[in-house]
Amino acid sequence: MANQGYINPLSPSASSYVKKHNVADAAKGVTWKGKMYAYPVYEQVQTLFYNKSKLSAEDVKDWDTLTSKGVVATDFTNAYNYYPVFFSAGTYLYGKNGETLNGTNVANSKGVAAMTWLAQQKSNKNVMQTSNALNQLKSGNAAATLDGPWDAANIKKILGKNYAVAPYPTITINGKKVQMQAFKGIETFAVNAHTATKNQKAAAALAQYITNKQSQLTVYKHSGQIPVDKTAQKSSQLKSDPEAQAVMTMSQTGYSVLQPKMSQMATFWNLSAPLINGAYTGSIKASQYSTKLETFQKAISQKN
Amino acid sequence: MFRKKNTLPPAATYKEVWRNGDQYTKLSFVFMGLAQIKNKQWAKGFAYLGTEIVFLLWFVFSGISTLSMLTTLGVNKTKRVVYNQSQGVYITKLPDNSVVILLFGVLAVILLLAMVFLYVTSLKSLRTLYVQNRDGTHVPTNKEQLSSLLDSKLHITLMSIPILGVMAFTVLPTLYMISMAFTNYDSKHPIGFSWTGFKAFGNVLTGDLAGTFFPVLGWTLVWAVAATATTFFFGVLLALLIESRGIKRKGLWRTIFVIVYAVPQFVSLLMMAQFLDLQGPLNTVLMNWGWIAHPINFIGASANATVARITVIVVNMWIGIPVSMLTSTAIIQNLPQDQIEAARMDGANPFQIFRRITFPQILFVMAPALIQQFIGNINNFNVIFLLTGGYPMNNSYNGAGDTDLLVTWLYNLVFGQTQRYNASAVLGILIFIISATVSLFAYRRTNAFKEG
Repeated sequence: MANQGYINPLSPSASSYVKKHNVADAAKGVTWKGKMYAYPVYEQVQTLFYNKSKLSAEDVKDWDTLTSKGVVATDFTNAYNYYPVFFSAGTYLYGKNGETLNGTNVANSKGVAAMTWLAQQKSNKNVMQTSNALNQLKSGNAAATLDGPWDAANIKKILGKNYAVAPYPTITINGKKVQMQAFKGIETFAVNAHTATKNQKAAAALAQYITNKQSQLTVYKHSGQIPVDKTAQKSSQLKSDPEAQAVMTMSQTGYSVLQPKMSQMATFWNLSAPLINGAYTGSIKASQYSTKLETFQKAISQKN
Repeated sequence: MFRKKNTLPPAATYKEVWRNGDQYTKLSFVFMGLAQIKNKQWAKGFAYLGTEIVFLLWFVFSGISTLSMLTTLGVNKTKRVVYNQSQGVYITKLPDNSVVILLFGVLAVILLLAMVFLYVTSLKSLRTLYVQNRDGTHVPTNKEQLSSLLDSKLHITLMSIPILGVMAFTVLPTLYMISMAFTNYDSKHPIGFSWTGFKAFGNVLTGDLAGTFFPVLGWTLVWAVAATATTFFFGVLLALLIESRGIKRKGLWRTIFVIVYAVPQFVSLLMMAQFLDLQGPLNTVLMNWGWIAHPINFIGASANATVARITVIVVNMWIGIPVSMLTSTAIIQNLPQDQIEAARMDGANPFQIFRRITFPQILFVMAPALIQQFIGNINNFNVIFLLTGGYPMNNSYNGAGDTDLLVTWLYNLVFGQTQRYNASAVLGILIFIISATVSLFAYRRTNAFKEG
C-alpha cells in the first residue's frame, strides 16, 4: 500500500511516539524502507491450543511426543500455517530484514529438508488434514490445533475447563531438533492518503488515539487481541492470561518471523500454498524438490 | 441466415443532390437540419441542428482533450510524497487516474461514432427530401412526421431508450474491459497504467501464464462436453423411464426430481461440498459400514485430480438432469407414436427403438439448446467455484487448481492474491473467441439450421 501511495508516512513526531511506547517488533512491523506508515495496535502470532485432559504440558513441548499421544488437526493448504517450517530449517524469506528482493534462499538442502518434514507428516497417523479443525476439537477427534489469538475465545468455549495454550513445539528436521516457527503479524491503523489535506492532521490524531495504551487494553479485555504497548504487555491482566503469555513467547526471535512487507508477497502467497500442499500430499516427489524450490524462489524474487 | 437484400439503386445519388439542390440543401451537408427546416419539418430539422450544436460544443471544450488523454492514459504515472510543514504530516500526490481517463476516452469514442451515424442519417433524409421535391411527391409535414413516430415509425420510438440502455450498460463496459487487455493494469499499476499493446496476450499465451492456460483450457472443454452430454443423455433416459407404460403416478416422480432443481444451486452445491468433505457425512458413513478404511478425498485440496474431476461431473449431473428430463418429457410426449408402433410390430426391441427412432428425433429438436448448454458449461462458474473452489491445488499452475475452468481462474486472477486485471481481460476475450467460434460452427451444422 505504501508503494502505491494509498497511505501516508507518519510525521516525525508520530514516529517517535510509536517507537517509544511500543515493543521493538511492532515499530519494525510498520516500517518500510526507513519510514513508518501506520500505528501498530496488536500483535498476532499463532500458538498451540490443546486439550489438557488428553495432553500434558510436557507432551506438547515436542512435535513427535505430541503426535504420539494425541491427534493434531491442522490445514496444510494454508501457507500461513506451514511456510515457517522453512524458517525452522534455517532459510530466510526476503533476507534477514524481510526487505531484500533476492534474499530468499530456499533452493538448497535446507529447503529440501523442510519439504521432507512436510512429506513425513502425511504418514504420521496422528496428523489430521482438515479444513475445519475447530469441529474436530469439538467432537473430540482431535486433541490439539495450531491457531491464532483471533480464535482464542472460540477455542476456550469449545474446550471449556480443558483449555490450554502453549508456544509451538520443537520439530525434528534432518535429525536435529529445531523450534517450529510461525509468522508474526502486526495489526495497525493507517491514514488514508485520499483524505483531504486539511483533515490529515485530525486523521493522524484519531489513529494515534485509538491505538494508545488505553484502547489496546480495552480491546484486549473484550476480544483477546494482544496489545503491543510496552507497559500494557507488562500489566497484571496479561501476565495471568496463558494465551497472552504464549503469544509473547512466540513473538520473540527464534520463535517467529515478521511477515515481510514486499509487494511480491502476493505472488508468494499464491505459489507457496501449492508448493507446501504438494510436498505434504506427495504430488511433488522427493526427486523434484530442488527443481520446484528453484522455480518458486525465482518466481517470488521477480522485480515488478 | 444472411440472404442478400433486394436493394434497388437509390433514387438520386449524393452528387446529384449536391449539384442540383438549392442553397439550403447544400448548406445541410455541413449544418444538419437546415433543409428540413426550410421544408417546414420543424421537429426533425431543429432536432438535427440542436444535436450538431451540442456535439460541437462538447467536442471543442472537452472531447478533444479526452481523446488526446486516451492515447497516453495520463502523463503522471508515479506518486510523490511531500512533507506538509503547516500540518506537520506527509501528503501523497497520486498519479493520474488512468481508470477514469480510459472510461471517458471510450465514452468519447462512442459519442464520436454516434455522431457520424447521425450525420449519415441526416444525409439520407436530405436525399429523400430532395427526391420528393424533385419528383413533386408529397413532402411529409411536421405533424405527419410526429404522428408517424407513433404509427409506421413506432419502432424508432420504442427502440430508442433500449438502445441507449444497451449502449450505456453493455457496449461501453464491454469496450472498456476489452481495452483493459491492452494495458498493464494490475496490482503494481493500480492507478496510473499505460498501453502495452499485445504484451498481456503474450503473457497468457506464451509467458508465465501459458503453463496454466493451455491445461485449464483443455479441462474446460472436456468438462463442457462431459457435463452437457451426461446431463442430456441421462435426462432423456430418466424421462423415457418415467414415461414408459406401467409407471403409475408419473406426476409424483417428476415432482420429486423437480424439487431437486427448485432448490437454489448455491444451497445445493455448498451442502454437497460439506457432504463430500474429508470428515463429512459420506466418508463417515462409508467408514462406519466398513466399506473403506480411510476417508476418500473427493474434492479437497489434496485430492487426486481425476477423482475430483469425476466427482464434479457427477455432482453436476445431479443438478442438471431434472432440467433435461423436463424438456425431454415434453418432446417425448409429442413424438408421433405410429413409427414406434410400426417398429414394435416389426419386432424391434426397446433398445433398437430408442437408438433408431426416439433418440435421433429428440436430438434433432434439442440440438440448438444443447449447443447453448455447451457454451453455458464452458462458463459454468457456480458449480466449480461453490463445490471445489478450484481445488485440488496444482503446484505447476499459477493461480488455478485442478478443477478450475477458465472463468474461475479469471476470478482468482482478479480477486485472489495477485490482482492481474489485464491478464483477466485477455482471458475474457479469449473465452469469447472460443465460445463464438464453437457456436457459429456448431449452429451451422445442426439439421434444424439447415432445414429452417
